Parts: sequence; C-alpha cells; structure tokens
Amino acid sequence: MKDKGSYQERLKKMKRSIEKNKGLLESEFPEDVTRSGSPDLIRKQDNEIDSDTGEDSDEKQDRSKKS
Amino acid sequence: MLATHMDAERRYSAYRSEVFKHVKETLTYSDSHLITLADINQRALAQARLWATIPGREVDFNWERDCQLYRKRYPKRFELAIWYQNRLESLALGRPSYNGSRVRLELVERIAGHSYLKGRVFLITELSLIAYASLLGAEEIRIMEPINESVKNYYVSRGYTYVPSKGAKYFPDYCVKKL
Repeated sequence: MKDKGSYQERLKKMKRSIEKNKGLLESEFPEDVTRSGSPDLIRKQDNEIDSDTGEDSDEKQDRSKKS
Repeated sequence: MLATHMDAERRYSAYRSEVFKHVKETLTYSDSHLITLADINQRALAQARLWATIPGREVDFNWERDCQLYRKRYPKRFELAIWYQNRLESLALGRPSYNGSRVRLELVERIAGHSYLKGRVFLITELSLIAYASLLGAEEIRIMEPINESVKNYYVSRGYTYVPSKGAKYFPDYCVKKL
C-alpha cells in the first residue's frame, strides 16, 4: 500500500488543501437543493460489498473498465 | 466493540475534529461565528428526528435509525453535522474506499423549508470532505449521485468529472476530482 506520509505531513497537506480550496465557499450552490447523494448508499447491506476485496460496486466498475 | 475498532473510532473522530477546527477558522461569512461543525452526536440525531415533520421534506431517511449500522461499520467514515446557533442545518456521511485512496460523500441532507445556510452547507461540507481526504492521504474525492442536473453542473464547473451510472442499483453515478 502506498506510503501516505506521517501524520504531521498529512496535517500540513490538509491545511494546504483548505487554503487552496477555500474559494469554493463563495461559490453558488443551488439553494433549492436539500439533498445530494442517496440514502440507499447508507443503507447498503454487507452483501453488496465484496467480502474478498472489500470493494464497493463502483470500485469494481472502475477495475472492470481498466481491464 | 473490539479494542481495535474503538481505537479507530477515537483516532478518526480526532481527525475529523482537526478538520472541522481548521475549516471553521476559514469561514469568512458575516455570520460564521454562528456556525458550528461537529460529528453527528445524539443531539444532532434528536433534532434530525424532527425533520420528518417538516413539510416539503423529500428525503425518505431516518438519520437516527438508518445510519447506525453504517457508523458502526465504518470507523474511518466522514461525518458532519452543521449547526447554525442551536439549529441543525445539515448532516452528511461518507467514507474512504477500501484502500484509502479516495473518499466518497454518500449522503448530505440539509433541513427542508427555512434554512439559514441553504446552499452554503453543501459548500462547507465539500471543503470539509476535501480536507478530511487530504488528512487521510487520499488522492481523490467522489461526490456520489449528484441529485440533479444543476448539482452535477455545479461540480463539473468546479473541475469535477462526471461519471455516469451503468444503470444497476449499486453502480451509481458520481462526480470525481483528484486532490
């Protein structure tokens, strides 16, 4: 598995990412929207996740596209 | 609960607190001092219970009941409750992928009807997700199932790539961005 760096390094990366992306706070998101995403993704049962790899369906979809 | 699971719960809750602290410090709205970012605690779930009574609520989801298993199963999850003073404005849930290379936002709901924050909860949630993914060392974030064209267009205009669904129930569409 790829080395993700020490916690301190990742903390610095987090702070940089906030600084780099803070402009999005001034964006205009549609104000009539009350939900994004799907409750079904939260309710998904264990049998929808591959017990061998722990992958979700969309991750398996990605792998099958690449092969 | 296993000791390792409890340890992960504590560690990732601390990570989220760090994210919320820094994102909150970044807010420059005139009412930012009234906004609080926190984990989804019992107080949040108690207020979310009342959402079912709000006319115009379109989401068929009981936060108190329907996310219990998800939260138990994924100690490394992203979760966020956004408050405006003592009023719960939104809840969000997501999680890292199995190999930790990406973080997905799976559901975010804001209070229906009158809201002090409206679209801003989605922006704050997005920035918090980006920050959390960076702290975990992930390379990519995914916004799962953007609810409509205007939401999809918002994310595409911000540099995300839209990936359509293959059509099956658990092959959802999403917007993806490299960090």
